[in-house]
Amino acid sequence: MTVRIASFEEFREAIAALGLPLAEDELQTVWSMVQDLYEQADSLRRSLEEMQGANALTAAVDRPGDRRRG
Amino acid sequence: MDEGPAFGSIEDTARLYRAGSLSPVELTQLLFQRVDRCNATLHAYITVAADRALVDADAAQRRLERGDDGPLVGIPFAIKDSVATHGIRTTANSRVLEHWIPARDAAAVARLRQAGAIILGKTNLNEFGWSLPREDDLCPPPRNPWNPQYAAIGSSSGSGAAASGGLAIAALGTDAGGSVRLPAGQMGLVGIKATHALISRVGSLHKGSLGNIGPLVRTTRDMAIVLNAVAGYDHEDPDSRPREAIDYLAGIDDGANWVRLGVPWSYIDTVPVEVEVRESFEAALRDFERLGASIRGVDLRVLSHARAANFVVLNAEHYASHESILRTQWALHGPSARLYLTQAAFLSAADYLQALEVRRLVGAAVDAVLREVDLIVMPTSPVVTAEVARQPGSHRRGINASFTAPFNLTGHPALSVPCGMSAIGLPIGMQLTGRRWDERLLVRAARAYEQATSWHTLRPAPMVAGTS
Repeated sequence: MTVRIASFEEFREAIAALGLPLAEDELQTVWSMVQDLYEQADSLRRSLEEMQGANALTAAVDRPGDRRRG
Repeated sequence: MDEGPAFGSIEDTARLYRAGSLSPVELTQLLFQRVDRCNATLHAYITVAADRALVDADAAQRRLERGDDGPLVGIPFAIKDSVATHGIRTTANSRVLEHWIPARDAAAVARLRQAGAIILGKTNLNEFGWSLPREDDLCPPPRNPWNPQYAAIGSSSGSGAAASGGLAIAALGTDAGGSVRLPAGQMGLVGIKATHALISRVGSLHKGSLGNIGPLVRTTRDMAIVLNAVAGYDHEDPDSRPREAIDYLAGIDDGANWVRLGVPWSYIDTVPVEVEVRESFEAALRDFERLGASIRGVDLRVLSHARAANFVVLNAEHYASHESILRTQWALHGPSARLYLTQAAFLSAADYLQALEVRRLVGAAVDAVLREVDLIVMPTSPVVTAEVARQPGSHRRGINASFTAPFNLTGHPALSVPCGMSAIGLPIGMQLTGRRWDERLLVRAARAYEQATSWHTLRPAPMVAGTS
């Protein structure tokens, strides 16, 4: 779990805080791209669970040289 | 003058030089004549360096007259415009760098020059290699010499267009997700993303943990020749490792009838592969079988995790390296590049580190498969045209790099070799992936396939005549 920007308004505020002068249509486009990126990043958590099991900490100890094939 | 030499291989060119039937100056002049005629259509080059190239061609001629038998003496190269060239403007196709003239060559360029190569100029890319190409970019997007109605694919598309369109004999590109292999595949060339940092990345604007410099050439023997020149340790590249020097030409013609190929069908079948691509790939497998290779399925469904992880790492590393200039030079970034570069501001450290953990696990899975087979084979690209590859939804998720990007993540060497032709006249490529540091096997197996097929002998007919 990680903290995500949840709404467009929150996203607009974050961009303003970054000091990046995005136009309104650019804001919409980047928000859509960010949501895609979040989806990909979140899929990695599921990938790790699939490859390591639910507990990454113990997996690193139990199977340090994990060579399982997916 | 006969324009055939503009489409010759490195070896063809060297033979003509030694026979006295062609000189480096004549070939360089021919290539610049073709650039004058074709570049307005192809947009392969952003900058040409004619004066310096002709001086270097003259110097190469003198080396040949002194009996220098180096295979790259007098061979004209094109260099991607995100790779630094001393004294030659290097823009990465961005107005941010429109006037940057590097004070030194990238290490790979320096090695080419030392070997006697001639640098013709700088080739086109999408801005910083991380954007959707646009007609209002500093230089408009490259077209494919095989059928200029279609765009050339990949961020090293200008290098591919130059090398396949008879505007250079060979080229260097960079590859962080497939950007050398994809244009090689789509333009009938051999292209490699070698083992991570086998070729020094010093002087490339695309570094991070994924980016590598890679050659695009016309034959597998040419690939071995260029690797012999540019591969090797560089203490300035933090990822470079000292290794024993390898002659990539040694044994290249000895065949590969013993080679064991693994095909990860269970992964390939998860990707939307176009029918023509699949048919060409299956025909190539049958060709390999006829050569005596053994072929079996291997389970590499984990590559789907690698694709996503590569995309997250690539995004994060692009943002990290551009963060400060995004703030200070926002308006100089193109409308697509600045959005692509901004998105990763919203990734967390955990996102990045988890992607790196996926890298470790997938790398181990690929290593395990490569203990059971010698090479993993897949199509290079799931689609034929850049137009399909760049549909916004799939481009942003890296779908067109489904077969190439996983090996940027894991660091395994992967080479694209021509294996077919689409109905619209664009070539199709096949990718061979091998064990880390074993590029010799890659070029040897690809050479065996090349000797049994004729795809690499085809040339883009419309551009031979100089018409679009």
